[in-house]
Amino acid sequence: MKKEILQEIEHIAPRLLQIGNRNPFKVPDSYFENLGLEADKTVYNSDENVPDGYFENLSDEVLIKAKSDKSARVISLSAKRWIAAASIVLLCTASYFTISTHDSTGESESFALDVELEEAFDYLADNDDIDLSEILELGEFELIEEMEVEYNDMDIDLFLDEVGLDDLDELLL
Amino acid sequence: MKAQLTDEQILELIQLNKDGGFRSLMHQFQEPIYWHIRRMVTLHDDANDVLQNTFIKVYKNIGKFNRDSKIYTWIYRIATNESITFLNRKKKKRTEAIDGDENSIEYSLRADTFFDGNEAELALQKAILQLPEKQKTVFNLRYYDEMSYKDMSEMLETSVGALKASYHHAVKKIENYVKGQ
Repeated sequence: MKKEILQEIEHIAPRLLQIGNRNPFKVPDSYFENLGLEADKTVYNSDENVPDGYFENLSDEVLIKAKSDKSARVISLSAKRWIAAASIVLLCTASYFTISTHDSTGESESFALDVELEEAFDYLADNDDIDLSEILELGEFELIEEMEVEYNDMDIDLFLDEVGLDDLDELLL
Repeated sequence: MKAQLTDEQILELIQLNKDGGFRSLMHQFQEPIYWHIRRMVTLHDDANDVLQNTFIKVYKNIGKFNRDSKIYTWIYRIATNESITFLNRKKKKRTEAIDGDENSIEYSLRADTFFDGNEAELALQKAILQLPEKQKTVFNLRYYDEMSYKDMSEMLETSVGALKASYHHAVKKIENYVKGQ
């Protein structure tokens, strides 16, 4: 273990230090040995539970799938953050208007109902230079400030830890 | 020892022949990326699925790689996203209670032919699995991969300060967990 990593935890986690950072996972002996690009070897060895020569054939398998899969899209962490930020704002805004509308007319309506996650993503993905305050302004951030709620990157990260992209979709609908 | 290609060489190969260049890229990065994913998702079969999805995305998006970061960092970031998405989906599908879930993870690890840790290492893995995904990522990258905060910051698009705080919290939680075992 590197000295700096050791020093970092020696006072706060002596038990962890005792366990060490050896990799407890393993793969079959041949797993990393045959890393050549030949594609004509057998993928599975019937004597073992995992593919023999796994990495040898992986690139072929991925290429076939990549060419047939039209939906794959990279969503960067920052894009996910924007989606999360937008979701929080939309939810808060929707909640506010729901309460507000209910108070004035007696009818509960959510303004978030018409929002599509894909639209939000596309907008955010096309506007890399947009900053958080702009997004928050879109969601009538003054209202959230009045609610004494503060958001920062860590909040959004924590939010993302608990809520996946699918969940965000559900939250928005 | 495998000959390492530079980012420029890989991108040049991809420009000349996308499939051929991509094979070289996979050949160079699949092993460390596999281990990163494996530590995140634990089981080999899951790691295999996530690894393939990761490289499918790399293949489809390599043209958009803007060279602001290293290819390795970019792929690591995609792999991290894929792993977190996979874990969140898996978590959502689980119907067991928390204790049951913990037991099922322990059972899976004990039954996994490709886990050869001792009791203390098993406890450590169980502790890691209790962490929120972001903390788990930070802990694995720092503790096992011994990655610098600077590289991690670039990869996870998070400040060094936030990463240090996240790692500190993760270490404390893990220490408490393993002490209690």
